[in-house]
Amino acid sequence: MGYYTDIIEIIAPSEAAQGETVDIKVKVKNINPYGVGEWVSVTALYDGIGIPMSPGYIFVDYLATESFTGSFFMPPNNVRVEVWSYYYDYYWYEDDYAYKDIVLKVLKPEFKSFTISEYTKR
Amino acid sequence: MDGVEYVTREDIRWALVEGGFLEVPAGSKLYGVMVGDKVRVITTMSYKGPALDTNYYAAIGNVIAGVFDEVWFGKIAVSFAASIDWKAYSLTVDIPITAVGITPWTPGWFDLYTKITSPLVVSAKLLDVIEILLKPEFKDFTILSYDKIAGA
Repeated sequence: MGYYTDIIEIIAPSEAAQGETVDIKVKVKNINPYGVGEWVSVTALYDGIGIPMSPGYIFVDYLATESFTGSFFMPPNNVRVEVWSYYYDYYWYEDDYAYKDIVLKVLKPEFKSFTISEYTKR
Repeated sequence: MDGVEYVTREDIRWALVEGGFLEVPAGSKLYGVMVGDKVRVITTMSYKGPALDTNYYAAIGNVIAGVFDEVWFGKIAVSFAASIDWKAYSLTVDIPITAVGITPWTPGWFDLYTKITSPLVVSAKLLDVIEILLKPEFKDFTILSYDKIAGA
């Protein structure tokens, strides 16, 4: 928990297959010690690579919670999604930090509808 | 004889020219396959998973007491690309019909099945769908006699 913001939750799957789109949602609560609304933003990384988040920033009322969303393609390894929250006071100040680990899902070969469709004499 | 063999499938008559090909959808009868011919078998499927190198295998034989007794077979190496979504594939292999098969055989109707060898995925077995015949052979084809027939 930070002083002005609290990353209360990172919503993301616990596992994903390589190449799969991983959607994340970050919920941030305004806990401004002065009891006022504030502009809030987040940044997110996976394996040190930036995840574009939306919205870029948003005004959050005191004690209200707003969400930021983003996505990335799962690489061929486990990843840690790291999130930082910021509040604006003539400058963006980094405030809270949280992370979530996502495990690489190992795929198994699967077949369906295995059907002989035709046979011809040659 | 005009050199054309006529075969029937339900109410459809197909013209088959020796050396050409007759295509039938699965479950229909494939007539008149002879030693020296090949049977081309196509199997369709969907796949998802990691990249996979395996074999596509097709066999003609007889189901005896629930066991497929193979007489002829064809096998080809195939590759499936890694995919998290279902992807459609169509695999083709030719089965050479040789005079000597894996097991002894007599002309008649045979069964068909296909499979992926690893992991093992087996198709439904199609029973009595392929007619396999010996090539017609003649010997001692000799003029025996020639006579005048009065009034002919």
